[in-house]
Amino acid sequence: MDVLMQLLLTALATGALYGAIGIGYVIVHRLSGMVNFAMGDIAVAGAFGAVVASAMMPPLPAILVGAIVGGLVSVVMYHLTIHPLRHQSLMVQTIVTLGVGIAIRSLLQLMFGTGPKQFAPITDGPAFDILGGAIPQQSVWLIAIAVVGYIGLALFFDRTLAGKALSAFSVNSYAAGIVGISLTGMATIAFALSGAIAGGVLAAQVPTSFITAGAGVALGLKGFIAAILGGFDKLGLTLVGGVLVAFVEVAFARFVDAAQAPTVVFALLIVLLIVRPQGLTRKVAADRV
Amino acid sequence: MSDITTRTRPVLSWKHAAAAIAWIVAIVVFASATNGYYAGLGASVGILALLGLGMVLVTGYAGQFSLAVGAFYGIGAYGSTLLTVKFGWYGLLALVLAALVAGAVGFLLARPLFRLRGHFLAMATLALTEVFYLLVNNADFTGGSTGLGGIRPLELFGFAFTTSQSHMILNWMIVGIVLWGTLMLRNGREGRALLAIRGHEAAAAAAGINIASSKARVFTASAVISAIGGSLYAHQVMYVNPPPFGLATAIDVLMIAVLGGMRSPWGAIVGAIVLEALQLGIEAVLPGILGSAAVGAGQQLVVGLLLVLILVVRPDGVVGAIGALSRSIVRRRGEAEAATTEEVEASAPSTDMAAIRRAEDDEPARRFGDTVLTAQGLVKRFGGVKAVNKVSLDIREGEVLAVIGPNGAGKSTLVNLLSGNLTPTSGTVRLGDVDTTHLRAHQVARHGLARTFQTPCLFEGMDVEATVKVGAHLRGSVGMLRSSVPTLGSVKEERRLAEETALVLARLGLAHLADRDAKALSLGQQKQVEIARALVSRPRVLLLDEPCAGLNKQEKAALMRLLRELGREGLAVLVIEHDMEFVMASADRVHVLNFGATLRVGSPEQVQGDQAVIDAYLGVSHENEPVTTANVAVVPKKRRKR
Repeated sequence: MDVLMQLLLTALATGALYGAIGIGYVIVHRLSGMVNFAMGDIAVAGAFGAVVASAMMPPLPAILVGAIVGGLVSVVMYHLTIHPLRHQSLMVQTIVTLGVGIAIRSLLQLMFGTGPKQFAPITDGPAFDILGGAIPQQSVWLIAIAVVGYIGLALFFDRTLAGKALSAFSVNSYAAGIVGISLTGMATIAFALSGAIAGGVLAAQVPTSFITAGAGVALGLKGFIAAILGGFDKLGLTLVGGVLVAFVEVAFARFVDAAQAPTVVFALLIVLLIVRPQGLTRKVAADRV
Repeated sequence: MSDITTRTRPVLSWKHAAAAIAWIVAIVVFASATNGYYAGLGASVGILALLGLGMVLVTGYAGQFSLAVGAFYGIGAYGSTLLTVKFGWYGLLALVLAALVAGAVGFLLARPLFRLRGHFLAMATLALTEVFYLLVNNADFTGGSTGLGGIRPLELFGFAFTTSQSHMILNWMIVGIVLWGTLMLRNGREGRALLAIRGHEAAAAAAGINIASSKARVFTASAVISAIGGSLYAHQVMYVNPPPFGLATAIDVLMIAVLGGMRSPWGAIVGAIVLEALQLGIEAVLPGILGSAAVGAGQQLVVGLLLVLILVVRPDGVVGAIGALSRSIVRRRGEAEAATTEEVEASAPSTDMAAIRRAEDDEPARRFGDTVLTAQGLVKRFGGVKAVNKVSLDIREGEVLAVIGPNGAGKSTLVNLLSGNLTPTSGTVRLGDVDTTHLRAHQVARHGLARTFQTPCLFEGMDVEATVKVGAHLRGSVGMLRSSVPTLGSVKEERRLAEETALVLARLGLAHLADRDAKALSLGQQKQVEIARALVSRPRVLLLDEPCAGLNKQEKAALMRLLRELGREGLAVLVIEHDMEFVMASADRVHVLNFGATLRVGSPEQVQGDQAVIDAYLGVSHENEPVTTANVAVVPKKRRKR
């Protein structure tokens, strides 16, 4: 029971992170039908932004800086690389995002080296004890930030004019264009939100473990699984999907083999895509491509 | 990315022998003229070129974006290493077995993987490469992250490949063979099938191409080529560890593709050379700027930035840019010729379709043969909408059946149900004695059904002749290997297909357009190319979906005469059309659909005078008001749907 509780708590914190990165994919995919292969690296850029900021300010504003950096990198990437190629095939756009990913990753490596980086948690103090499992205070902060981010996004898409316009665009971009919604403006918002939630939540995780410049690929793949589970459409289910992925990972690491846990998770990505591309939803997003 | 038009050339000629000799001479001269360092570079460029060629097959030809190259490259390298070091196998034997294993893995993974498309396929294959990387990185028998050493040089008939010069010659010989095979494939039956799949899957399936099988076989071929590259790498570096087989390799290969362009196999060669030159340049310049510690990351940064920059500036790569230049020269020459041929056609016969038909009807009536196609109680539901509702029809040999009805009556859906592009919710379709209700489009085509599409579905970057030849897919049987390495039989078959294609092109008056890019033609000409593609398969049943849209009066009359002729030859023709003059002149029987259900079936005269049909087209007046000329002036809806 204690072990299971511990696994659940760990999975909840890690899963919120995967879910947040997954939400980053979903927001961009809903708008443009593309998958941003630089997603993980954008999140890492945000986390490093927080690391730098943490030298000058307390952790919580530093994490906010992380979110802003993630959003900025994402928007700059859109305007420099994806917007000029918007009439090209999806394949060209994919290669470009892969290229951006490598560029971000190696640039971070040049700036910060390959070693791990960390900063102080938002609140110091002992871990909370819940039903025999322990969860660090920072992990609770992480989950809270991810959930607040999710609720904020959900309200944004449902309640605000800009959010509705964004949703309209994802349903029918042609019709949305006719009623005067601009693709460039919408894409800027979508890429900003996508980078911000992924960067912010990853920044919140840095105090509990650490961050390295090369972490983007693995994070990107795990976040992608969360996005598959969310059907590349539903933000809430993506968050749930992230927790499921994390649970599989920590459970495999605990009971079978810690070294091979990521291998199993990546294999799960392939299997899921083939067997259940609609994830936890009913509609197959992969068919929209 | 680039769109180099495939063209049919003589399959084998003295030029091939001359090119082969030139290739060998160039390699040997280069290898013997340079020192070990440059020969070593040459050898590794050769391996990169092999990986690039593997990518050209899957991505350039078949249009499937796969990043799995790292995994298969690794299977080759680790396979050769384990077999020779741990089991003491003979090098060449190990290479073959490793390549076979890679091929088998590729073949098994291909069917499920290629159910995915676009980004999702890319992500799944990226995950595959990561899975392979982690497996060898974590396993003990592969030496984990430290890797394995002690590999001996490759031996062949007692000659050991120990020097860099010998590596270079060996690698580039293999590159030469693969390059030649890849170039030959493009002009062969299976290569055309792959290009057709890239261009338009539904149209490829309608031509009888088994898409899943084609993709699986080309993915297998690519896996084998990558694995051979991996084996060569292992024997030349004599040490393997995980990093060269991870994502970095996939990115390198992408870079090759971007630098060289993916449509032509030459792009892989050019791309590999340019990439290596770039890497050398970076290695020479970077340490001065960033310090020697930063070379690895700096190199990656430059590669990443270049990848982005090249795509933003020139999305079709270096070879694409050269190709665009040479094409514009060729086109200018071609246009001068085309202008002279088109004038000959100006003296065409009458365009009065009704008169042509009356003349034919005066001749003794012909009898129709056996029923070829039968549909019974076809229903197709899309969610809550019944697009087709209990439609039954049959067509006999020699009969032209027109299906008409207002927009949204379910005509195109009906054709899709008959051709296997859609599966009916209920009801049956029979072709001759065979129940084809649940067969896929390419299987239905095998039973003698050919079709055209409402909006022409032609293949990008293919000339008219090749496009039509895709339709002759089922007239041949040469497989992928014999398409790449032509045998006497495959050369003969290709010649026969070319003759059959030429006959159909001549019959439809398209011969003078044979070498033009099919997608650059006018809408009417594209429609005719589609009909040619359908006819060249020598079907028993021909389904035409709005063949007249975009045709001028003269072309319509020619098409009408063609349909009557085809009927006389015993072909069963089903045609959907809005042009009533055309329908009434070409059809033996007319089947009217409205709201997905059959409204009337009868001779053109019966249908023409039928009040229900007129109401369906013009709308029913509920207040019994007399039909005035103002109402009648509304022409039957003739808008082309997208």
